[in-house]
Amino acid sequence: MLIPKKFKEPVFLFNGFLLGAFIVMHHQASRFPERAQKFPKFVLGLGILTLTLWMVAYLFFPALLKFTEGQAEKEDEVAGNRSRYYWSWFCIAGSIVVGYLFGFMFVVPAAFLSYGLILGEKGKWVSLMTVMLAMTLCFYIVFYRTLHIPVLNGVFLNID
Amino acid sequence: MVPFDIIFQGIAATFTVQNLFLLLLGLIVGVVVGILPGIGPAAGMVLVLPFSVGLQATSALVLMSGVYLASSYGGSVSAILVNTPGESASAATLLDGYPMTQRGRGAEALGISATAGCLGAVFGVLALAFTAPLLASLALRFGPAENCLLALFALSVISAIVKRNPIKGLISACIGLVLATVGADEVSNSIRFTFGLEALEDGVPFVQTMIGLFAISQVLTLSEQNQTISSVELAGSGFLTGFKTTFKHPLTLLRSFIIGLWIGALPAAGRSTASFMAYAEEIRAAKDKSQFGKGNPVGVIAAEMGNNACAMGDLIPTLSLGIPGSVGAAVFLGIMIIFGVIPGHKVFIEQGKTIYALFTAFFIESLLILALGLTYAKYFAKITLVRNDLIVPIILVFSLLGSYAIQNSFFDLLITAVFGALGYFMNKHGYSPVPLVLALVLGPMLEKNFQRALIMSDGSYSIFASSGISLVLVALTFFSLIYPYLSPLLKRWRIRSR
Repeated sequence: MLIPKKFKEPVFLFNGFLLGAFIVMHHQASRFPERAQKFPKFVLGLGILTLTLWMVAYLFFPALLKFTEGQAEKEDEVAGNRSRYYWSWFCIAGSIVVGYLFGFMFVVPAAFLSYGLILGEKGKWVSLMTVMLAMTLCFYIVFYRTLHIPVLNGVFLNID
Repeated sequence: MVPFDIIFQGIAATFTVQNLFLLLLGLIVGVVVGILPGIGPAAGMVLVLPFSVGLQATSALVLMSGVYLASSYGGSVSAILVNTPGESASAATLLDGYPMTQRGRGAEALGISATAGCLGAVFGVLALAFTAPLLASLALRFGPAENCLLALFALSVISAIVKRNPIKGLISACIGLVLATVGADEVSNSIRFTFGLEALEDGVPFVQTMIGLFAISQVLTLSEQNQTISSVELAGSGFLTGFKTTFKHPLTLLRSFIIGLWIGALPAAGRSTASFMAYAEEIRAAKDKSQFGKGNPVGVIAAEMGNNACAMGDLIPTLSLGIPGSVGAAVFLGIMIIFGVIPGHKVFIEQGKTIYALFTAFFIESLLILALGLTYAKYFAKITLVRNDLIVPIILVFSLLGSYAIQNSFFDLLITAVFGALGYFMNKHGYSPVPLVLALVLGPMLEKNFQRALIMSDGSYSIFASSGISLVLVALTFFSLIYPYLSPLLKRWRIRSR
């Protein structure tokens, strides 16, 4: 079955997700003690109302939204490279995982190497490696040795 | 009245070789921790605390004062140059500071930041030294109802910020307010919306959220573009232009100073609130509002003046009453107590030498920050010309460190990553993250005081109109909400009637 393009728009999906989450949370808020539920219920109710109005306008009166949002969206649209975006997430997630496994200090070489290998400029390895080594040394001396932040505390490697 | 000999003893105590060295050290550390996203004054002072062991109270507080004040300038440097606020209070600075950098006016923005910041801190410390008892007694008149209405008034500025896109702005504010309700409710202590995660019981961690929304989303945006942040070589004369530009807007300076100092003097309303309120006030006062967010120097002046005046204002209730005006002031208060300086109305007499040494240190640091901003800031500005594949990992590792170092928790890194994705999406699709941040800061203050006011009045809402201050705040909030929409109509009506 073909889904209309309107329903695939990221903004529609995001607002739809928010609406669903707010409804579930509003329901959950009813279980809190009376005093603790007033404010969340009010805020969630306001959110549900706003999102519902947006949905109605988006589906049935799109001209209304174009009037208020069209200009802003055009200006905020930044030309970007999608594959670089996904690879960037890969680098961030990869660095966090490496840090989790071997200690936070390993985030430094992981981040530099992954960015250099995947998204970096070819043939500019010397400066990249120099900055990477300097940063790793800086982390070791300043944050581990001097400030005693446990940056060598991971799942597989635990020096602290 | 504090005897003059105590004041002079305090001033003299600052000018020892050791204290001047510590002052300079604190200043440098402050700028560095300020530049690093997420490591604001609070974390910076905690990180420096081990170095102060064994020092006298005066020396230790002089060191801390450097970190406390200079981190604000450092935070603005990274906000202006790489669109990454080093601390939450600098978020308002980037709204116009970064667009200035993109247009090759980064040096000018840094000059403005240093000058307005210096003026805010110098006049702030003078106000702190001479009017602390008076302002503190005025702030004490604010009960829960007034504090709640103050938070509501501060939230109403969202209306001016999102005027062009009100529905998405409201959605963004709702997300912030909902996030502010996560964790233990301060009045009834019941746990809300944690979904079984213990780490969320203290609420959504603010600094980690900010790092995600601003720094990680910036990492993603920079990664996509594969170029340097500014392709324009920054002119050396830009710094002095910034210095001169600041003095061309005396009304902005005055308004922002009053807002910053006043917000600072109110307990719990922090520097981010002050800088955003000062910024929003300038939008409101401006004839051409369309230039804000596109590199308007007035926006940078207002945010910096408000931020630095508030940093000093924060210390008014902290020193006079022991009530911290912000997170940074709370850490400062804790450190003061560690060193035996117990805040209260007697502190100016009993610990007068230390307190006036502190004021003198703030004064000197303000001037040094200006000198630093107008001379060495050009080296900071070079950051914008560094290749993306070098600068992106640097921003990434320091952002992640800022998030990790607060609680040494990898869960915080996940929170940062989630908010990074949210911030990126919001920027891409026209949702301003500013209402979210504002709502996240003000939400707890709003709710806590709302509940307390209702407890005090046995559930009667009349408490919100029971004092003159409340009525003024209600009127201001109402006016603030409708004015952005009313003013174009009024303008059109005036043109037609002519």
